[in-house]
Amino acid sequence: MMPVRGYWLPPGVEPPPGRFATLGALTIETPEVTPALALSTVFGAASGRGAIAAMSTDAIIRALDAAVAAWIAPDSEPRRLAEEAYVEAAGVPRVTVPFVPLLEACASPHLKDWVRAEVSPVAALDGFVAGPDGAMVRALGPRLAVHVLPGNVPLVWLPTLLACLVMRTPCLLKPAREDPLTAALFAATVAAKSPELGAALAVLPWTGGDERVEAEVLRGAGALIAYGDDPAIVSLARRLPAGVPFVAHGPRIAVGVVAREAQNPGRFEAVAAAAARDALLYDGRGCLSLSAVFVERGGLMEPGEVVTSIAGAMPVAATALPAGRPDRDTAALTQSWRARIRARMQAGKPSRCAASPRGLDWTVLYDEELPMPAVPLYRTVWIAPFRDYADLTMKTTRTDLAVIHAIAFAGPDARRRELAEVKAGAGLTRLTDFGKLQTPPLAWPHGGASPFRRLLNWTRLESR
Amino acid sequence: MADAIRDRVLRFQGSAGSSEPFESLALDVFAHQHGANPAYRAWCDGAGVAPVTVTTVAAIPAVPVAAFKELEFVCGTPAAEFRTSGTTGTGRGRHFLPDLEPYRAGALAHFARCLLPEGWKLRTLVLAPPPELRPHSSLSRMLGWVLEAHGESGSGWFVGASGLERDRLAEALLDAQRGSVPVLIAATSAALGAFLDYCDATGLRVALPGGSRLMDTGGQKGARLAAPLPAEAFQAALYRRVAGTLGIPPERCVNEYGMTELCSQAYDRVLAGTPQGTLDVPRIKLPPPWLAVSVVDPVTLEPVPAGASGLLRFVDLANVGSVAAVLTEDFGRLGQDGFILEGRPRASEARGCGLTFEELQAVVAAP
Repeated sequence: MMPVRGYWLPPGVEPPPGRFATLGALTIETPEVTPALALSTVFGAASGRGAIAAMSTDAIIRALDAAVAAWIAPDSEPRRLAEEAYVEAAGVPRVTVPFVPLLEACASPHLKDWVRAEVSPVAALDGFVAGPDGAMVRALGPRLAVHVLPGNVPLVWLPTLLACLVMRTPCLLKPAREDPLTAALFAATVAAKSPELGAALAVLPWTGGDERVEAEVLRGAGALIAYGDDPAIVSLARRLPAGVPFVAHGPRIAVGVVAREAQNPGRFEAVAAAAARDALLYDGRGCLSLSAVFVERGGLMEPGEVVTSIAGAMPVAATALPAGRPDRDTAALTQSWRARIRARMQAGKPSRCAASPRGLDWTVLYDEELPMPAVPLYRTVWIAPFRDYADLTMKTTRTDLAVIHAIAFAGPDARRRELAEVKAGAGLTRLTDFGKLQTPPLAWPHGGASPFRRLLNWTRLESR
Repeated sequence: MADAIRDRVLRFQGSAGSSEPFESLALDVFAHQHGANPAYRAWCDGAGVAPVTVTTVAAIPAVPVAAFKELEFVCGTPAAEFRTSGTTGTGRGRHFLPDLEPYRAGALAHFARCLLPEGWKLRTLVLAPPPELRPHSSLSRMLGWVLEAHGESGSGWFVGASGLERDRLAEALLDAQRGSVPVLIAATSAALGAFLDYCDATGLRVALPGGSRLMDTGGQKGARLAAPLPAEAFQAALYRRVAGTLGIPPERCVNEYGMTELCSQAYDRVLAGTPQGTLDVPRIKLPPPWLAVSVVDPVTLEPVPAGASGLLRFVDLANVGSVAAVLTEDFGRLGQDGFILEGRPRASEARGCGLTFEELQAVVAAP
């Protein structure tokens, strides 16, 4: 089989001698990333800004829609290759990490709708136009956005990449080790639909922490967009020149809330099944993976019955979404918490541990007294009761706990609205139904605001 | 039964593991604990394990250290209680012992083997709180025994009720330098780090006489680091500072691996002697003959292939009065005659004896 390129360089940048690595049935070619290559890549990609600035927003969106559609197509070869590489590198079964739902969220007409909702007047992306007060305004993104991509879930970075290109911002992407091909193959697809957009893209797999390479990258960066809390990213951000925007998608978690009104014996199974799927889709690794469920007291079901229902749904979901290979730290922490809760059960504490008989395929932990674990455990749902929303706020507001940015909710609309009001100022960016947690719409303000709000620079041209 | 199995363990310790095969003694210890330790018996029942099915050391059900936070694993009536340190407020592990003699005998014997292989007694300066200040610290208790058994005149504690006694320690070190008296410094890494900071701030440099040595324990727990370092890198950096500030070279610095839930300790085998007579890279921890170490996969909890990394699992016969088989939250791999410590999971609780100094500082600093 022909080697697949794990990089993408803008025109004029000489492809360096490749190194070849075997990943399953794939052979992946990557360049040796030197400071000189980084410098020429940064310069080359940034040079693509002129060509995309000359394109109309409609033309850009059409090209990007076409690229996304090409990847959604059932026979998409680049998607197949990217999935195969991801499955091998991340150690997750293919069915557990589907690419298509994430692509569909970006499919036409969602991108166009998103741009229109976020940028007003949208024609300001094409040139100076009259703003709301009559003054001329123009909106343009940074000169170059450097994206340090995550490996826990594929394609979560795609909306921001699309937004950057719409903002006429060339992009340099650093792929994660767990996802070695998606970025490079998607860049190639974009280039096939629009050579101008392709010329404003670069994908360079440098080693995180290589300060000589990163010095060249940061010298050219107009914005840094990074995911996770890896020490290498923290270090990179510290070296970012002053004034360059840093969009950090740091640790965030998603939880579920079951209002007392939703606790209907005999009808709760659907919620439980959806919760189990939310927990195990993408191997439970994403920031939208369900890590805890809070059950309101006073319903027709005891919290223990909710635990039984969700524990009953987990083996079914685990069969449909088999486990991958967790990192050893998360595995060890999950084992530790299983042991702790089992010990508490033995000690007669109000606790329960239900878990797959072997390995870490799934785990449900319930405890009425202990605070939830500070970090999400592997394919685990932590369940705890709460009295009311004030009690829920107390239980979920801790300095050692990542911000809860998404909530799956079961209950009546009035209670849902009430919860949204309570959590809106505390980092919540999305409140949805169980079963939808891991498939956010493009309009979801990931991190609290869209990339347009964070990165667009508005210029106001005032008349004399 | 309890006295008989205890005496067999003491004989095993006293004979450096030659009185009988480890495996048969370990299986008898397990059978004893299953019968005499109700919490352990229930734990085994929960795991579906009965003594009749356990025919190898590897099959003895190991209790994860997290379970020590909730259950009292003890055979008979506790005579002593040791507690893990910790800072997160989510509970502390407790280790109850009905009898301290297997702990004391084993600790002293292996300390002597790994820190004092020449059979010397040394002036011992302890940078940890004494047992009177930390009655539930197993480290303090062990160092108290070491002082009694191996400490020469001039030995003492240098962490008191008001924290690390820096000036007094500096004077003791200078006195050792002036008198050409070799010393043994036994320290938590956090206390040692604090003293080295003091030396840097004051410009103090000491050239301790040859034969001086360091035992440090606790690793990065309590260290004020921007980000955790790999265990080996942290240790190497610490020992460079020790060499530059106190004059003790890395080949006379011995890191201790110990935990509240285990009565036995393992030490870098730098002084006990490596087969090649050179410093191990990476350093290998040498367990005593009554401490068996194995490595299990953190996902399946099954043994890993030879040489592979995983969670360290111990069968410690010195734990004869509590539970011998303990599953830790430390990563490591087996090496020649011992194991290589790789560190703890990221985002796990800071815990362990290294915090006893930090905790004390926090108490002292509190209004």
